[in-house]
Amino acid sequence: MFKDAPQAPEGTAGETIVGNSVKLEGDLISDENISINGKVSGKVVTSKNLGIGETAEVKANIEAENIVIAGKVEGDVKAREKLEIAETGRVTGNISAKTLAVSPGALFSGQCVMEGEGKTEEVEEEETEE
Amino acid sequence: MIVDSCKFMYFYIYDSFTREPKYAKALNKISMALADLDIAGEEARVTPIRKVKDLIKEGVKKGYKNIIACGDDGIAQKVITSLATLKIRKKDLCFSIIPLRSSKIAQVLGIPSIDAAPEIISKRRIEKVDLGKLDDQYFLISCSMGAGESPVKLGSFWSKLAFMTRSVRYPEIQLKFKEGFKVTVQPTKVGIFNILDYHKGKLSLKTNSQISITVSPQDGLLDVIIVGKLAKFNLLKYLADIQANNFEKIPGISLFRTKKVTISSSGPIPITLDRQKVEKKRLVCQIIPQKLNVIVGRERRF
Repeated sequence: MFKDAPQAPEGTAGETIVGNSVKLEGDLISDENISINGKVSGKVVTSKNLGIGETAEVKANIEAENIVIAGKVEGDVKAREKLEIAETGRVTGNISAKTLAVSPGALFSGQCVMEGEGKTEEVEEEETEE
Repeated sequence: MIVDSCKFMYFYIYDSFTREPKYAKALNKISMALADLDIAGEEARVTPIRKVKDLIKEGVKKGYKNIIACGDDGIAQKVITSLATLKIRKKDLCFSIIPLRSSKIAQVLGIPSIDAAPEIISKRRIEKVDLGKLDDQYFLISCSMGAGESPVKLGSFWSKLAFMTRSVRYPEIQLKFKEGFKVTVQPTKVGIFNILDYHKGKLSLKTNSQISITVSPQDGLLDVIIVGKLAKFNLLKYLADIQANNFEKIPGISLFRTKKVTISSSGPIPITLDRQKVEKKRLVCQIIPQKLNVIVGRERRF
């Protein structure tokens, strides 16, 4: 399902694409949607949506409006709205989101902060495989 | 913006190949059409002594507002670079082309043929566009590099078989973007686009079914499209699409939008710049916003 590209959040019209043969280092800061299928290290920040495909290996702190992870991520993940970890997703780091969806088979190791209306809930998880 | 063409002066720069007898009929036809439309102006021809840049300097000093390249993309590219590097700043200078040979520049400007050119030029519908700058050369459409740039014609079964058995080198290149990141890749092709020369600049990519991009020469950005290393079979399958900049079906595409990118490699990189070939080890490519006025037709591709 996510082999070539991440299933981007609905309404995505991606404009920055990191293909699977590309290695990117540094700060990828954008006001556009981002799709990652290659290797990325540094920092990834966008005011829009971020999709991380099955072939992606990301060693970076990431921040976006909505995030879908189907590949490997090492770093803190902050979704201002929804974070979805697909069945092939592997996340090592702290995550924060208003809405969280973790598919069976996904791997997450770290702390989870859920930001609701006016309150913050902290959930600690270690090496969770659903 | 459409204006009365009679108020403006026209300067036509003919490429040296137009001396060939086979172009005499076409040139005669153009002269008559230009006279009929009341836009006949001074004509100059490029020679080994009279370079494009010198002709343009002369023409601008004389007060010509419309500089028209008559030929193909070779002379068009030289005229564009000369206009962009003119020391005298003239805000109302315009560029256009009469395509005497196949010309991508004419196509993107919406000038489909020699016959259509005089009328389009006389209407003077003007758009201000960005120009790409590769080191000291300017380009209107794109520049590209990589293994996919090799001139390969795959017609017969035997030519395909020969291609399959030949080794294709993929030199590793680094692209350092002004926006703060660096990309390393062994590309089949890297295309840097100011204008995408098909589908009115719209691009739908297979990497994500939701992605639809517009490449515009009026957004102050270059679109860098990278075709990653392909297996031999896939290279053969997609070679025609790669060479035609038709990226929609090709797997593993990368896309970055930038104001400036520096490209380097350990070996020389063959580069095609608006269909002209150059070779460099390191190059800087950037966008120069709102740099050129161009006369366009209704069928322009942006």
